[in-house]
Amino acid sequence: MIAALYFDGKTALAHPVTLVAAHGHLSMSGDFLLRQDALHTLRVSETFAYAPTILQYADGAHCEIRASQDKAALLAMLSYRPSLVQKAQQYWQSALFAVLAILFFLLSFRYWGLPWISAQVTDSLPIEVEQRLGKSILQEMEKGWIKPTAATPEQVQRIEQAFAVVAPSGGTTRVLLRNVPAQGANAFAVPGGTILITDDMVKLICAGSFHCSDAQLQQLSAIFAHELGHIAHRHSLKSMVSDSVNGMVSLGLFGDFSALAAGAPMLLVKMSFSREIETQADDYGWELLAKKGIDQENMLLAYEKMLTQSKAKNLPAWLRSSSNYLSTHPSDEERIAHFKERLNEIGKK
Amino acid sequence: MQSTSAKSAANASAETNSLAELQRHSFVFTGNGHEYFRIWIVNLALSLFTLGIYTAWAKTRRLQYFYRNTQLANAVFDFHGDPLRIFLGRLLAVSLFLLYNHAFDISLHVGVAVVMVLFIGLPYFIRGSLRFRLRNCSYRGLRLDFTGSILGAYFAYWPMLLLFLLPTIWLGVGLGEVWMAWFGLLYLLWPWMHGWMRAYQHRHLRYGHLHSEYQLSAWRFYKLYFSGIAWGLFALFAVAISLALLLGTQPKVDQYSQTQLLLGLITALILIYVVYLFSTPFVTAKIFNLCWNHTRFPEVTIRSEMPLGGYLLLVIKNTLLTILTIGLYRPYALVALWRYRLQHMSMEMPADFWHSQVAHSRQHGHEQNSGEGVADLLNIDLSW
Repeated sequence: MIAALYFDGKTALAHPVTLVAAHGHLSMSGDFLLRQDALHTLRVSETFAYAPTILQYADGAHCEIRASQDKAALLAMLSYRPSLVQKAQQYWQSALFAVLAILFFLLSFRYWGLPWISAQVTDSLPIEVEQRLGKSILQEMEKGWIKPTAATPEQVQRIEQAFAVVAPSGGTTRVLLRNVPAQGANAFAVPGGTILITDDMVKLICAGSFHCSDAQLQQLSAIFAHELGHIAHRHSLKSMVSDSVNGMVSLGLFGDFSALAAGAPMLLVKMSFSREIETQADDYGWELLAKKGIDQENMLLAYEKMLTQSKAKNLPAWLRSSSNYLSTHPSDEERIAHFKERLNEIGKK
Repeated sequence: MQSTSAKSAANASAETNSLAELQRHSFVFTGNGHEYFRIWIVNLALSLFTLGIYTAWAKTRRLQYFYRNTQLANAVFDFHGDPLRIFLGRLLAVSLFLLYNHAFDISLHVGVAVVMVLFIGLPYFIRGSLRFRLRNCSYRGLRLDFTGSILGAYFAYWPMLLLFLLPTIWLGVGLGEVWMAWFGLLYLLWPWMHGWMRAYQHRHLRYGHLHSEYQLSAWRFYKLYFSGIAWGLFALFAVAISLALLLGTQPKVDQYSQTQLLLGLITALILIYVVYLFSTPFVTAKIFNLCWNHTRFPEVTIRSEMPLGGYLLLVIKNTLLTILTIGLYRPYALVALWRYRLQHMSMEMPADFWHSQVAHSRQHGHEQNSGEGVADLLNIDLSW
């Protein structure tokens, strides 16, 4: 015999009743109330440990059964079978398994899914889209924060020659020398095949002036080779796609907790993706230099100059090494060590 | 014949000794964090591996868990929503989100068109979500309902939508900063808009044949927001002063180095977060109390007396533990928050209330839902 509260679905009144099963039927009896239903017309809602079990009649009435022995008796009476998901929810072992599965899913999304999606989307977009995008970005930049270079036309021409040495034939790529004080010594690959190099970068490589020696021009070629790697791999488009997918997933997963908290994993993934891209461009540039017959040591020399500059910025060593995990680029030290290793390998051969 | 548990269950609702006697019923939550953690994690894994599709089923289960563990006067609430409807709502929400984000990239005309569609569609969809949520919630065998009109929804949500959507249009069209600055003044109306929106939500509740009443001026929200901001600023000063004392002892560097910039940035972020962390729960709790204390049903008064300090501490504890456990504390946090709210909520009604008052309202019962045709087709759940 099972004690229950019966609700008829028409009024809010609670009727204390008892339930008994016999001959394929469930009989309910209480004050002035009696009903009998075939067992197969009854349904039990998914059960939870401390909530009352809910028995649903076909006509919209229902019973709430509270005591745990009554709940168990009812489930046995109706030979209730919990779903697979419900069973999984009951054990800590399956919870642990779920944690591991989630971890596995997120990691494979990061290292396999995200690069795959961004490569697929990027490949499906024609080069014209990228060119149009690059054009509007350059227009936007020229409105405010980039200024014409301070170098003379002859000096610019020499730098353009340093670019032509490594650039692919066919004229799909070009280099622009501009004065961008806000960015310091820097070079970027703008979508669509344009490489922007700042006055400060040329000055850094060419000992403070625009008058570059042949050896210094080769170091500029090494920097261009790296940026050409970004262009060849269509990195700017890829990271845009990856950022928007990454943003949506992070927001979907953590956004309901807090938009701010959703930003943290998004940023971490964005940065590690960006570091991968930089390494890829380094590798491309390294091979390109060899192909064009330029000494690969020039890349090493260029990065060493950038390193001395970042050291001059007063950044303590602990912060530089720890910020590496939060950085969009591998640290210059790391890159230099990497290139030295490679040079040694070549030397041994 | 009856077992004792059924008898005690019957007592509270069946006391009929005096007609005028009022009875206070407190809400009780019977769920627990450990149980909900396992439900949450299994459903999260399923949601991920189905690329989000299962979230609709997971949401149904979540609401069922919270509703069925919510007890009032010995009976529990229940959720009957169709996961498929929730899934359709999500599909709609995601497509609207994508459209909104990329419309202006396609062209100005497409952008303006999408913003117009949102402007006209969203109040309708929000009302649909409210109806979906309430109509699928039952208590003592009767459904709740939301009876706000479509026109009412437009009145309630347009001011706020205007605030959100106009900047997007203006950015797309390329209006100047002066215009934007003037427009920014509209944000001063935010507390009123919030109060106005809450009034729409609380004024049109129905349980059985009982309609809710709500008497609270939307202007009252200004006081709430001001005290929230004052409280946040107080927290800001407290933290800023202790940070200054802490960092002030660091050796000085002559020029602006990257270290200093970085530390400055981190400090600023922490301070902004402190204001947010302290003032948001404060305002949330105050609004929650105030709105429910001003909502009533015929012969029923609702009382919510959530202590602000306790709620604030709970939210801070939840936030910190959730971050420290990289999210694993989240289900415990949800349970703790729900329990805290319910603990401080109660309803007062005549002792014979359930006998005399509440009956099923024939016109708007759930079995008529399908009869509403096209209007009901869009009664899907947009909320997360």
